[in-house]
Amino acid sequence: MLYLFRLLRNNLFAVTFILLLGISVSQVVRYNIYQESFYFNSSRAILNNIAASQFAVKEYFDLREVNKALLEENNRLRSSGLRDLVFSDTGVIVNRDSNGKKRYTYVTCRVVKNSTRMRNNFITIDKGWSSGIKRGMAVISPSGIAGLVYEVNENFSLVLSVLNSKFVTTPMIPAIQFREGSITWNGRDPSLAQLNWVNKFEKLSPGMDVLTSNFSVKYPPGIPIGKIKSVRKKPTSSFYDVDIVLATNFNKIGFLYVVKDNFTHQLDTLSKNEEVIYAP
Amino acid sequence: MLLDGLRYTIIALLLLVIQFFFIQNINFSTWIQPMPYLYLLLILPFSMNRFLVLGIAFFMGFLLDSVGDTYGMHAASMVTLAFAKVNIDKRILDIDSIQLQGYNYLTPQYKGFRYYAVYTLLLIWLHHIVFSILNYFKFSAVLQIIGVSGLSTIFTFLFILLYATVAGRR
Repeated sequence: MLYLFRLLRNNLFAVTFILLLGISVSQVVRYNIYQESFYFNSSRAILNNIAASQFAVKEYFDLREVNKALLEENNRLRSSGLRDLVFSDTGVIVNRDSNGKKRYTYVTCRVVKNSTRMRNNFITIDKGWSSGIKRGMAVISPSGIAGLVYEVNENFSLVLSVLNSKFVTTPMIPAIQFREGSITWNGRDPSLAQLNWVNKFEKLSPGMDVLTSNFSVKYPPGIPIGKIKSVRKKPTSSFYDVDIVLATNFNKIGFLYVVKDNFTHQLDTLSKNEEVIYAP
Repeated sequence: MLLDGLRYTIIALLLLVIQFFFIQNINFSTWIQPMPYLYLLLILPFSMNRFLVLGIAFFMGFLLDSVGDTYGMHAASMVTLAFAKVNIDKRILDIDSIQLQGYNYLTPQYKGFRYYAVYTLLLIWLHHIVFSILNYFKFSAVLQIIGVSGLSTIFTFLFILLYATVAGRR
């Protein structure tokens, strides 16, 4: 025991190094394995405000007001669309004009911080749980999908960008009525995402639109993801290698919408019951 | 002594501001991620307490981590760099002769540019490879880790040379 103490004392520098390294690496591991972030909630309240003021410089003075007005208008238009309604079929004829219940509502928010260079990129937005934002909600930009809410503060939220290794969503290609596979990002080019697990028998071709699927639990159906850029066949695999040009330009996002699904609770209850019945 | 401390604090703040507000806002490419803030560690005097060097490295990394969304990546790579630097200085460099010539840290004037470049590039690359490994965190991304760390090392070195020439002119 005494020998051990002496060993520790003689190598105190190395021990300190290993201790500090352990502390910092454990944070990385905590993110990668347990999917929690330590820094966002504990130390970001003030820093977010600094970042917000830094981003404010970037926005041009008058354009800001104009943008805001346009955004509100877009918001109203979006909320009035038929896509967001759920129609209840009580009689023989479904009246698709007035019989609907509103499924999605949108919260507009401003980007405070954004990155595209890392393997795991995040976007910070200026709305938090005081505006009704919860973990797991979908986030879209005016031109396409943007990410999922990952952590929530009182006034800020951290959004898992599409440009993140943890991001997965399910696509739909209306041209061939295709609803399988998954969209991920391989960490190379911030303007390209990858469509995986598409069987070689499907007739894919470049230029087809890729939208969010109606099987997606989080995203409203029909939001643009991007366009197919290239379709490659590998002889060793039975799946295509597909690159998609993302509809959202992640280097230039300024305003985003957070999608609130009013029926999340009902969907969750259903899937819970499913597990209960079919559990062995 | 106190004045030196103040000087290094100002340099550290300046480097952190440059890193956070400028370098991280420029989109070079996903392959190039220069981090010239580590220059502070390279100019700390040889006579400084090694535990203090380790502490400064950790604190700088921690500051950048808590502002950006990088978890412990900066802190881990800075601590590794500090540990390696202290050991290389002690075991490989001839500190006494450098100090006798009147330098507090290794400069290009001591034994020529090539000597300085090898020492600096090695330390920068060590920092970058730890950073890239933690960033990608996957065995299958080996090629990307090597590519990103290599390219970034070159660009960090260029930035450091630029900073050194601008700051060293007085």
